[in-house]
Amino acid sequence: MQPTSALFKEIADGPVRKLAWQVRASFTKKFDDDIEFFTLDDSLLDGSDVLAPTSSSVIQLWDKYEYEDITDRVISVEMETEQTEPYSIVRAMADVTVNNFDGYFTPKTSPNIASNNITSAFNSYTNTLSWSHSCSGKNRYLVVGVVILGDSPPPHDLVSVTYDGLDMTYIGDETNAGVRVFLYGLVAPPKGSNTIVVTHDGTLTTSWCLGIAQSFVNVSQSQPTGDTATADDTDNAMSVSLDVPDNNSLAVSFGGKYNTDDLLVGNAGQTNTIEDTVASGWGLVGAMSYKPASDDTTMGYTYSDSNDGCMVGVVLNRYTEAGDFALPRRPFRVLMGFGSEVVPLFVGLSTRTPEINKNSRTAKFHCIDFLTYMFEQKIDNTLLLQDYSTGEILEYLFDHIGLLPSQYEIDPTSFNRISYFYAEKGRTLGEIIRPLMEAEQGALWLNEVGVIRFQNRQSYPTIPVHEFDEANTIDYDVSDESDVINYVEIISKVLGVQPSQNLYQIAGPRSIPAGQSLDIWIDFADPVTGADSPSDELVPIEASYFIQTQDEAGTVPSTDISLDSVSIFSKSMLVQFTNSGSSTRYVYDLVIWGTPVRVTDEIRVEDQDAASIEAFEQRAYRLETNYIQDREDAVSKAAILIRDYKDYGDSVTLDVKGRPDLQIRDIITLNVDGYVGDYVITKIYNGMGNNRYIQRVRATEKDITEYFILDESLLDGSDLLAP
Amino acid sequence: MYAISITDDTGTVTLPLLNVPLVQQVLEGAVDITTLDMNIYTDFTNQKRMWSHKWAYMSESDFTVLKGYFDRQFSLMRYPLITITDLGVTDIAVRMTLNPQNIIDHCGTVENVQVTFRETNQLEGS
Repeated sequence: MQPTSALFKEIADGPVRKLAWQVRASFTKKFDDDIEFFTLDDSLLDGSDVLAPTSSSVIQLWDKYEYEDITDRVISVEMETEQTEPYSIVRAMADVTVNNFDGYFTPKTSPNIASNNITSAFNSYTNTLSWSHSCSGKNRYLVVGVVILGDSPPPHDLVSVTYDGLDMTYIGDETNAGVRVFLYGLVAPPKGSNTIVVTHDGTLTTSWCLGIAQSFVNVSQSQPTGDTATADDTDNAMSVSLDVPDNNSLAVSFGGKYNTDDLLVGNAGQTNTIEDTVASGWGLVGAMSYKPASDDTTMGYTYSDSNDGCMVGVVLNRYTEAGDFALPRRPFRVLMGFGSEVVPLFVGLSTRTPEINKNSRTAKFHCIDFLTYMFEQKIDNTLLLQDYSTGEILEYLFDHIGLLPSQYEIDPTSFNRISYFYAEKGRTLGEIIRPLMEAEQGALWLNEVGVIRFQNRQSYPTIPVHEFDEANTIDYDVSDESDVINYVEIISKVLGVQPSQNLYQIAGPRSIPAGQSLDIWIDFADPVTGADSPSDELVPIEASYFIQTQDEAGTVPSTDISLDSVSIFSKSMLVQFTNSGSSTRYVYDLVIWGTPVRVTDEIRVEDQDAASIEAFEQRAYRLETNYIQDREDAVSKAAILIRDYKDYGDSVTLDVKGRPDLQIRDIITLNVDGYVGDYVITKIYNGMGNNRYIQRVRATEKDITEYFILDESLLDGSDLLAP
Repeated sequence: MYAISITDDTGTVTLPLLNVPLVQQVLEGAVDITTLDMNIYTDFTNQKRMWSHKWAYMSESDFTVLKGYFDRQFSLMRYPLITITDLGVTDIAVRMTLNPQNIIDHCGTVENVQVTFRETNQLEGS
């Protein structure tokens, strides 16, 4: 049971309980810089994989991610944690259903940039120009172009451009005689109608100012603008060329000029908004324009007089972020509790993109815990370990895939010591660990805060942490008799090292051209603990050797070939030769001797419970393994299985007044109808939704056994010798 | 005098003079669960409020304004905010529902205009 405060327990056991939950997700998978991060030479910071599938990369720490709180959107959370039998491995999964009324979690199709509002204003003889402009839509970007006229150079400068009080970002400006144009932008401008305020340093008696605002949607929020360029008039025309990396970008320009005798005319293909300030035959012209961009895009204007035109152009980048939340393998954490106190219940990854339900406006994330995810990963080297315990093998495997020691806690007293542990390259971690745990009968799980734990089979807690009776039990079912095991057969094929023997002989002569090398890869039928390096000297009969010759027929000896190196892997060997002579030479024969690991003994043990077979017919369980090393161990394990599973009613599933702090392997006292005694929790379902917290626990009857521990237990006391 | 003001991105209006009753309801997110000994305990999450009101008659123009706020929930994809000063309700995001438009004359007068406002969170999307 997780440690909790007195207040937590008081609310949990009380009559009226305010439910609380939190769901956090790291959709971006960005790392929290405040947390120190471990990295190996080739691990990719901020990479996309949580767990790289090769041993050369490190697992990225799940504690390292920045988590976003999405509790406000949660409709329901369901989690199930189960100790799978007979592997004694705990797996957990969670389903998180969230409100998606606004399509927030729906995968985006990256629509093109579009304009959705344009406004303008003009004034004179004052330092500020303000007007109202409304922004809406998703992935918004606001552009404001300003043209200022001063009656003598240098033209006036802008002090600031703000929208809703927010400073806009300077994009560019250009001057031509007394006219100056500016372009400003703002990413994610506040929605709704707000005021644009342009402040410049023009004198009150001379300045004219015209502004045009245009808002766009579907603009990249992380890098909204690309290339910028400016131009002034040459021969009554001006244009800028913009470099456009994405054909779905948008080119935007703002041009301005003095005098209103004629207006600016936008180039073909541009959508233009032209504003002028005709007053007594003179004033300003401003033009805001855009067009879809492709490669090098030219924006420009023409006009018939030559009154001080100038312009600024910019590329707006399309929103292309693929909706991080819609990607698979996003880390999730779930916490539950009461009032202001919650306890962690789950840490894992979403398995795929969310299930989007259009009608109910929901998105559902299916998540598995990190241990389950790790079990899907493959090892990239063949492993052969000699005389390792279960715990030591687990440590080796976790280290092999890049876990840090702080990410796991291994019980140092595992019972199984395996003479030769062998795992083929390409097998998944789950395929390797499940039979290991099946033979050990311990327990392996990822706890609620994300630490992998292994305990041997005697390390069950012995003190009940909670009692369920009629006052806090809502309903119960007795598991059916399919859980019963009353006949056990254990077959263990024990691996052992063989005497040195001939493992390989080359199929025929191999040529090596003059001055070149030859690599010979040898695949053995069985893993080997060692193989002799071949020699071209005289060797004993039972030793590795090679013969080199000048001819393919093997009639003329050679001394030009040298053995460069020999590398031995668990189930293969690399032999490298070099021919230093001036003619082609031959490796005429190559023989390798070594010590393979093969099945050396087969242990077969049967056990049964006659009374149970009489009652339920035979319910058999067969365990075939390489990891039980002697008959006594096999007998003991068979007895444990029979003892734990021979009776109907050993497992009871209870709907209870939930306690989120309960954990798998907790001992609970049951006092409901005929089910009285100590039980161990082997499965927990926690569900929260519709204002209700549902907890369902599977409790398996457990004889609490205090095993004898050297230097701790009393001689002739109540502690039992371990089976 | 009780009055309801309603706000969205287009602005704020005070709805026409209210008739009686103006109903304020508490929605309790609670479930009573019976244990095997036939006692109960209660799990709850939150309480929210709901206000409902019915105008016996409403002019076409007033109804148009009211329906505008209803419709814009779906075009702006945001809930409107209501204020009922005398109930201590200030700018609360609400899910708004409106009963069918029952037009009773050729001036467009609408009868039995029932509106409900259900308090909820204004989730922030992108």
